[in-house]
Parts: sequence; structure tokens; C-alpha cells
Amino acid sequence: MRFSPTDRRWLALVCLSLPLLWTAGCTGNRKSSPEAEEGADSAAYAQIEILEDGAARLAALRKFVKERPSSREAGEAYVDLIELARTEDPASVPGALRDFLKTDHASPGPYNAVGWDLAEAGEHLDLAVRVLEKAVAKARAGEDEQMLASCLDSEAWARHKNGDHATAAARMEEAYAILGPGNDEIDEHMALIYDAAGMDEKAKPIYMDLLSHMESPLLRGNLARIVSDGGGSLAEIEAEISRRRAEGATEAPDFTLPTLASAEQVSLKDFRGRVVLLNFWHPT
Amino acid sequence: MEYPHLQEIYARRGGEDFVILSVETTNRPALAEKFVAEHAATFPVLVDDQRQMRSLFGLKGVPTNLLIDRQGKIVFRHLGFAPGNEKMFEAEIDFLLAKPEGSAKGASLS
Repeated sequence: MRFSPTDRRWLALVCLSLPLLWTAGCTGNRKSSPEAEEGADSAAYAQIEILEDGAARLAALRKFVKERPSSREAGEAYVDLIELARTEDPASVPGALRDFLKTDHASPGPYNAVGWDLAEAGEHLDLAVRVLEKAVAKARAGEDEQMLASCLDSEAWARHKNGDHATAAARMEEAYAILGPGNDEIDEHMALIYDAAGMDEKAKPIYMDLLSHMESPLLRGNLARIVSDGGGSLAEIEAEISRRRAEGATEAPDFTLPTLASAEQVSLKDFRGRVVLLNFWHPT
Repeated sequence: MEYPHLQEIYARRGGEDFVILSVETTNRPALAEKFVAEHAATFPVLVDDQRQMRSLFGLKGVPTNLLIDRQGKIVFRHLGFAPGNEKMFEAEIDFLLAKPEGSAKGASLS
């Protein structure tokens, strides 16, 4: 998982994929400290960030990490560099990852971001695992438990993708103890990793909890396999999920709001009988 | 960003059985109009002009997507949006659309 509420640099990345949280510290960390904005390193880095041509930016990033290896921007630069290299110059990625592994930035954020992206993409998994081990070590040295859980989840996911199911399960259990249950992404990772590790009895209740409030052909298929392998009754499990779904469903409160287009008033109850996807958003 | 995916889902399934209602929660109609036009969204977009949706639906943040079944029950809540989430939404919508009216029976496991 790439999310890190405390590492301010990731906010821009995080907010692309994660919600604006009204309750969490996302917005609170939005402003960077003035000191960080000053200085030659950040000025040089800012010049690179605006380059639109991928090859030119990649070349500039390579120069930056070489010339300013201990700057606070170097970690961020590596994240951009490796992401760009994956499309612009794929053959250079393993070398860049080895160089990145030699660095020693205090923040686990960049290591986590690089490793997570590779794990998700299923690329260079051996190196991704090593990068994520580093992320976990850095996070253990810090005090941010959420960050540690995020790094552990990333390492577990990379190991899972790489076929190392036993270690994946151990790392994921540690992340799950911090973040789960109730966090759908983490719960899903835990269930899939238990399943892959052959720990069916542990995967089963998590699959059931997830399916009790969300539909997923993958999770449903996996649960069906576990149940039939164990000689259990599919019908019973199915009825139990349906029962929990009905139990968890709550009446939607009615409302009347003007439309953006015509200021005509629309009520939710006008759509009774249809399935409604109710989307709440804000323009960015 | 979920809007292109929502538009795709709506284009394929919208009609007598399914609708998307999109509520702009910050009451900034000018900004919202520009955004909606950019994404060529054809589903109804509503404005939370009294800023009441957050408490009414107990929203923890935006985007939040809820699915309401034919009986008016909220059966699915999802906070945030990451690429790939649209597949989960589609599975859930199809599950609800396939469900016979008035039945509480879930999808088949097999």
C-alpha cells in the first residue's frame, strides 16, 4: 500500500488515488515547510519536475541522484526516476534499483513507493522485495505505525506475487494486526495471502466478511474453492453471506437536491425500483 | 478519478433499471460544471447546496460511492477510488441487477 499520511511529498500522489479524508491528517500535511522549499537541492529538483519530455526528465533525474545523493529530494527523485525508466528505458531498471538500494534515506516513503509500484505491476519482484525490506526496516526505526503497516503490506504483497507465501503471510499478519480488519484492501490482501499459503481456515472467514458487504467474483470463486475442497456446503455458506448482507443493509435516507444543469429538484425516492449508484465527489 | 469509469458504467447500464446520481459535496457549481463538461458526464449531477450529505450519509470523505438496491437499502459503501475499483462496482451492480425483485438471496457461489 502506497498511502502515507505523514510523508508530505506523497500527498500529491496519494490524492490521485485516495479520497480526501475529512477526518485524517491528509490536508493537514498539505503545506510543506518553508525551509524545505529553499535551498539549491529543491530548486534544482523543481526544475526537473516541470520537464515534460520523458527522456529529458529521466536524464535530468539520473544526474540529480548522482550529484545530490544525500539531498532530501533524492529519495523522491528515485521514485520518479524508476517509474520513468520503466517506460522510457526498461533495461536500466534493475541497475537503478540496485543503486537505489545503496542509498540511505531516513524516510521509508520512497522505498515503499518504488517497491509497491513494482509489486503491483509484478515486475522485478526479487529487487522489489529487497527495496521493501529496506522500507520496513526504516519504518521500524520510526514511530509512524500506519507507515509501518503500509510498508509491511507492500512487502507481503511483493513476496506473495513472487511466490514466497510463508513469509508473505508473516509480514501481512503484522500489517493486519495494525490496520485490519475492516480495511477492505488490507483484508483482501490478508485473505489472498492466507489462501495462497494454503491456510484455508484463516482465509475463509475473511473472504466471508468481505463478501458480506462487497461483491467480487475473485473472492467468491476463491471461497467456493476453499469450501468445496474442505467438503463443506456451498449452499450453507451462500445463505450465511446473504443473511449477513441483508443484516448489514440500511435504509438510504431520502433527500432532495437541485441538479447542476437545470436546478430542477431531484429526490432519491424518485428512483425507487432502480439500482442506484450514489456518488459523492468534489471537483479538483 | 472515478468519473470516466462512472460514465462508462452509466453508458452501458443506465436506464429503467439503473441510474447514477452524482452529488457534488462542496457546493461549487461553477467548478463542478467545468469538470462535468470535461468528462462529458451524462448522468444527473446534483449539488449539495445545504452541505447536508456528509452528516445525512455519515460520509468519512470523498469520493464515496454507495450502491442502493431496488428496495432503497444501502448495500455497498466504498470510500476512495483507485484504478481497478470500477470492476468491483460493476460486479456489485450486476449482482444487484440480476437479483430478482424482493429477494434477499445472494449470488451463487458456484
